[in-house]
Amino acid sequence: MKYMLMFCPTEDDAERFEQMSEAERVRLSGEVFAWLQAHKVTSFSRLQPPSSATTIRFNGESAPLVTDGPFIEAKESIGGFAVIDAEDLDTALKMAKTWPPRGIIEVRPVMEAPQR
Amino acid sequence: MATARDHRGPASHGGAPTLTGAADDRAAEDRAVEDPAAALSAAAARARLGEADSERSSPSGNEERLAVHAEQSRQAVVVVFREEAGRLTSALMRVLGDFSQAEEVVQDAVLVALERWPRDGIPDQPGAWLFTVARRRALDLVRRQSRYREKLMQLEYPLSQEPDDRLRLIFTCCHPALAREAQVGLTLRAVCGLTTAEIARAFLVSEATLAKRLLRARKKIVEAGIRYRLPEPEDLDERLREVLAVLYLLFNEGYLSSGPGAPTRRDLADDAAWLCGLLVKLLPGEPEPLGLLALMRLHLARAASRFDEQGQIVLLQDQDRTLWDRQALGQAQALLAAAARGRKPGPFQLQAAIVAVHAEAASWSETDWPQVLGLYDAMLRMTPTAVVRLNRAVAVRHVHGPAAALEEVEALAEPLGGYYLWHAVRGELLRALGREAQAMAADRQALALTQNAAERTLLERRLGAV
Repeated sequence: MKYMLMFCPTEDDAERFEQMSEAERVRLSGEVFAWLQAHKVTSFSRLQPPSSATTIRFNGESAPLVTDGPFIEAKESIGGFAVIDAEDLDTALKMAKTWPPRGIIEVRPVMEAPQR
Repeated sequence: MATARDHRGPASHGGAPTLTGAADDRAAEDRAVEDPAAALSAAAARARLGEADSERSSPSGNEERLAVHAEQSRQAVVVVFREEAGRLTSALMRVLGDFSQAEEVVQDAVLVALERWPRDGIPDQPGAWLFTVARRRALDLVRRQSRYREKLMQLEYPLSQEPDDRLRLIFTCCHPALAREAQVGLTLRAVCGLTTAEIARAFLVSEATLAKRLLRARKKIVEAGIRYRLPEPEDLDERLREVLAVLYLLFNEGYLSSGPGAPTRRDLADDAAWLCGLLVKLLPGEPEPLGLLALMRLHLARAASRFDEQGQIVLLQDQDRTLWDRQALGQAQALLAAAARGRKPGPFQLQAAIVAVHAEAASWSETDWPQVLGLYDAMLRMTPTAVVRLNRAVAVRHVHGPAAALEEVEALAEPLGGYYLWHAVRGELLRALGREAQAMAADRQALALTQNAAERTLLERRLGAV
């Protein structure tokens, strides 16, 4: 099965990253890279911060409304995502538990074309 | 298993017409209409007494026997469903490869049995009967898939399962990716063969709400890719903790609510103890399930002294210890000793050990408090939570005095300030130190923070007594 891991750094994590030295950052990036390779992750992206988001809302017949900011005002927001291949949820969870930058991770199965 | 009921007296008999006494025949029949299990037992009892299955047979001198038979036959059904439901779900799960379908098919068979058996009597081979009905339903479900049909046709009763497949079933139902309430509901349905209606009544939610919850959980199992398998050896401890937490919640739900207030609910403590016994059998090398079973049995052995004549909770320190079932306590302690031989201590073994120390004491004042404190220290090392610290403070009081205990309790103000028990313990310690006004204030805070009726009465009594 395919699962999407949505990475969501907490406020504490964000602060920790801010305060990291250049060397620490390089090391963490290396760990992330190794993690992606080890799990043969082909699809991985990081997102710019939520302050860069623009939201479009369709509302009935009127023209779509464009507003500044993310669609949910939350303390945490998705900072990146990866799509992984895993035999089952247990395997996916095991992978996610070793994600080097830690934080919060939402694990969701990707909908696949029905086979039956 | 039946010991749980025997010690608690008639008030705790769940579901059957016995609970209000046979004189209240009419009410029992009314209840039977909405409760298939009760209907079954009432009808089976009538059938055994040679009466026609007519409505409202006259309440005669047979009432007593009727009630006894009803309870017996209700018990018989519980035993059949427990024995068969889990195995049947496991077997169908293997063939169909779809937890949701397998679980639903077995639930259907249970419901058909509850509808037919009161009318036709319990079949000679109830297990085979359930199997046949379930397989027929499953065949209906996969009408167009010959692959499944063939496999289903090869299934035979009795289902041979070596090793017992119910362990996988339990681990699937208690998967940590499911909400606790769903874990509980699925386990009761799939492993014990309870109906959705029974579970809903036990947890005081509407049947529709519960059905929706369970449906969501079954969907999640399929969609999220929760496989029907045993945990990897390195995950076993973590996953077992989850299962034991579910069983303990179930037990507490039954044990705490089994007082006079809620006589019509199924005895969940009994189901929890049965499940825990099954787990012990299926995981013989693991001492924690044995520890939890010992803990449950220790509680049940003391059940008779938990309520006074007015139905109010009696605190351990005030309980009449002559009411305790010494033989059952001894057996539970033997279980605990067997767990200890596994040399792998865990929170439930420690909790059971604490209860066992209390059980050994002739009175509250003769309790071996240093030993209790030592056990709490060990527990704190294992699970360093604020609630364990609070419980430990009670032992500290008896070893080092109320002032030392109060100091410990005050240090927990930040995490536990919203927890009624923190205020209640604090109130008790302040009172022991003669700081009456502060004690009253703490008790009032505690009262404001709990909805539990029994706890409220207790606190009110304490406030009123001064």
